Amino acid sequence: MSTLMAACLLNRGPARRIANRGMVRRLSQEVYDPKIHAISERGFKAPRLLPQYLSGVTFTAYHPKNNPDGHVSFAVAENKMLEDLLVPKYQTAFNGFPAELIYYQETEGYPAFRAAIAEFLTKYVNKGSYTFTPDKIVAGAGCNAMLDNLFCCISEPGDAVLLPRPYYAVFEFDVQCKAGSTIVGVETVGVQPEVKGVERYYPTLKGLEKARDSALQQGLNPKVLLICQPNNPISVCYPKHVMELVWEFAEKHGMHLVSDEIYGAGIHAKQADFWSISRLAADKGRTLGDYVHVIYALSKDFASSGLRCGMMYSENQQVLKSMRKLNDLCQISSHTQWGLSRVFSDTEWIEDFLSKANSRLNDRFKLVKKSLEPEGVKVIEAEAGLFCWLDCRSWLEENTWEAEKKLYQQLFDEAKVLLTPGYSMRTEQPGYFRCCFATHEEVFNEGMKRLKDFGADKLRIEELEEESDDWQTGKYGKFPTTT
Amino acid sequence: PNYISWAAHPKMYFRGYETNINPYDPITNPKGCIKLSLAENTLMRDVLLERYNSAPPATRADLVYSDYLGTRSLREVLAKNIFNRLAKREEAKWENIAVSAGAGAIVNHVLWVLGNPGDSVLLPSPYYNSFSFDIKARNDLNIESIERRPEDLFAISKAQLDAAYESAIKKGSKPRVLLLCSPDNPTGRVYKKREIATILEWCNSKPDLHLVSDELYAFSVFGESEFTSILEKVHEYPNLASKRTHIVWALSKDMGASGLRCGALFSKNTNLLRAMQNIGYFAAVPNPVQSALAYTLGDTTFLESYIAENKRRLLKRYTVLATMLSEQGIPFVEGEAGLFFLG
Repeated sequence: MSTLMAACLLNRGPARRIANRGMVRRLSQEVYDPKIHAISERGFKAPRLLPQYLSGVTFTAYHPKNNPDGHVSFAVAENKMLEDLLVPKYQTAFNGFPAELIYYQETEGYPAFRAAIAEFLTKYVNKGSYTFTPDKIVAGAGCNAMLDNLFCCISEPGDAVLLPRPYYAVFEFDVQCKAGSTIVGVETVGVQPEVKGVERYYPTLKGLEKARDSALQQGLNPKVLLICQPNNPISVCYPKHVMELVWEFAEKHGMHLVSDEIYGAGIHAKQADFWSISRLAADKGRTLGDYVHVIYALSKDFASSGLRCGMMYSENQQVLKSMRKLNDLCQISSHTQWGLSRVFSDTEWIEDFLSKANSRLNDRFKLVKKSLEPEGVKVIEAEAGLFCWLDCRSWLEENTWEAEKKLYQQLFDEAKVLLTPGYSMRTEQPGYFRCCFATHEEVFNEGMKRLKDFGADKLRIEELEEESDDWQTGKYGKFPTTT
Repeated sequence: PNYISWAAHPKMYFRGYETNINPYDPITNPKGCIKLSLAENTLMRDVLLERYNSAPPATRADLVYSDYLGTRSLREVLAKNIFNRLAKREEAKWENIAVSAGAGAIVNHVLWVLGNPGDSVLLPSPYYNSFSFDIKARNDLNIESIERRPEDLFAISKAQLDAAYESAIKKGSKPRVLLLCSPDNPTGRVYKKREIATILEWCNSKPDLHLVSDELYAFSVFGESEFTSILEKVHEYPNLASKRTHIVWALSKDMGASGLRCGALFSKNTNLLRAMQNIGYFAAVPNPVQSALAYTLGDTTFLESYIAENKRRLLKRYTVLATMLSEQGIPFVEGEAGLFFLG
């Protein structure tokens, strides 16, 4: 199930209805008929573009008192561990909204808010090495809105966007829905079978070239290279040489490089070394130029997905001009921008908040390792963000996609836990799951307990060695197509 | 190199007013420029803010992802207190409402959902200049003007509707939507009952055409005419009403809260609503703002008195300006609604 659909269906309060396993909405199987549907074909197709895994599955959320039989979802990348810090701060900051701000503001965002964000990003995302200025920021209703508009600006329908696998699948929707571009996944693991450890998830020249050729063969113009780092779902920061490679590749082929750094201030591992594209630019003594665009939002590091605040940074004046105008269709409420500018200008509070937030994330991650590793799950070392990547291959009945789907279903039905299955993130080997661990504490504990019980019951197949991936030859069975 | 694709090229946009570099101030700059070109209602801000700022503060529920059709509480308030007020009957339920970041966002998205690339939107002219952007940005849609004439006092007739419809077809484009601004920008007119009947009759006769009525100034009618919302009469045309009629309202004008960026759509077309939920994700309103607005609009006593006072203040301001123009011998079209009129 896509994280987005899960988010829409989750009850946050007491359970209101019993999950009905029989009610599977066959959204994707209807055929478009303008007479019946009375909307355009693109309007009809849009909901069907959103990546689905098991369509229409519904459930009610676990609550220790109100719904102890509910499901624990580790499938939505939201942080619910920071409410005690954020709610009081927001309540103060949003209080006393002044009259002059009730009117139209600059479409690209309230100046004090952009200034505060520019300072924040400079300090935390590239450690002050590269100065972001407010005039190059456009702030709108979420990272997705920024991506949608940015792709309307820099690409045409029929263009390809290269994106390293595995990836957050809703990117496919973000670039396709209105902008009409197509994601072409860049193989990582598959092109470097000799590499072990987390390095096999780094994009390589070989993988990038292969993806580019594949796009051309499909008749798509490879226009944009999109990277998300710190990475979703691997939760790793690309080292400097990988960022250099990625930028070189984009420049060589005249492609735009979009760096989604939405987890850029959420680095919680002490050994992590985050190379924002801006930091790399500073290191090289150069500017970002006209082909590099940085995306950030407050949904993750600031656990404020409900505030709908995203931003784009670019030095390309044409892009900025268009983005400012398009932002008219997705502006952030002036009240929210005003309140947030007050929050961000309290630099002491921000410092303290981030320090506490990252510390809590790291502690929580360590608990995941402690709980699941004894049950045969290999937990990849997380460096940033709200989730970690789990190697659950020892729980598969066999090394196939079907078996992964079955395991996902078993986790849902028997353990009543939702993990995001690797297939839904376009991974290259079956058996991997993403675990978003930043839930409320009772929910987390219950979920870990259920997973431990599930793991203990599982008849495990013998330890899989780190074998080379023959997924092209169908070793793992037929790769499921998107429904 | 030209980086910008077709969807976003600045050339297609109306080049709006430049930032005012010489603003008027009664004391420091009495010879400065006064901006009369932007439709904002500043008359009621004290009343609105007092209510808005007394809303309960943000809660932890506000922090997380919610429904992209809008929060339930706001949708309920909008259905009950706004759209049913327009309809003058129990027409709207919360399920019929979509909330998004402003009327422009709503219009842009609704047209994206309704229109196939290359289709036409029929639009009475003269029209609000930013409609051009709202209609065209990212949508690949054309505008076909419905020519209204000053000698008719900008009334609409069946002949004019037919002419625009035929004109679009001749150009090889399918007329898909009739977009009304009712009460009207820029004429400041209220469509008469017989015009509303003409429009509904005509739309009903075109089974592939949708009617989108942008009723942003519905509660800013200060003149003698009674305002008739499309929603008040459309139920007499069941097919039109069930799938092909959509009403837009927002806080920008009636409530003078353009900075808050909150607009709403009413529709009974479930496929449209499903698509609006899906792309509503690109233009959602922050949860705390939705909660505060649900509170602000949730009290009918407050709303009644707000609307009445707003009309009173608008009429007073209009009368001052109209009197002055008359005395100076400057002709104008008498306004009845909104924040402006044609000079």
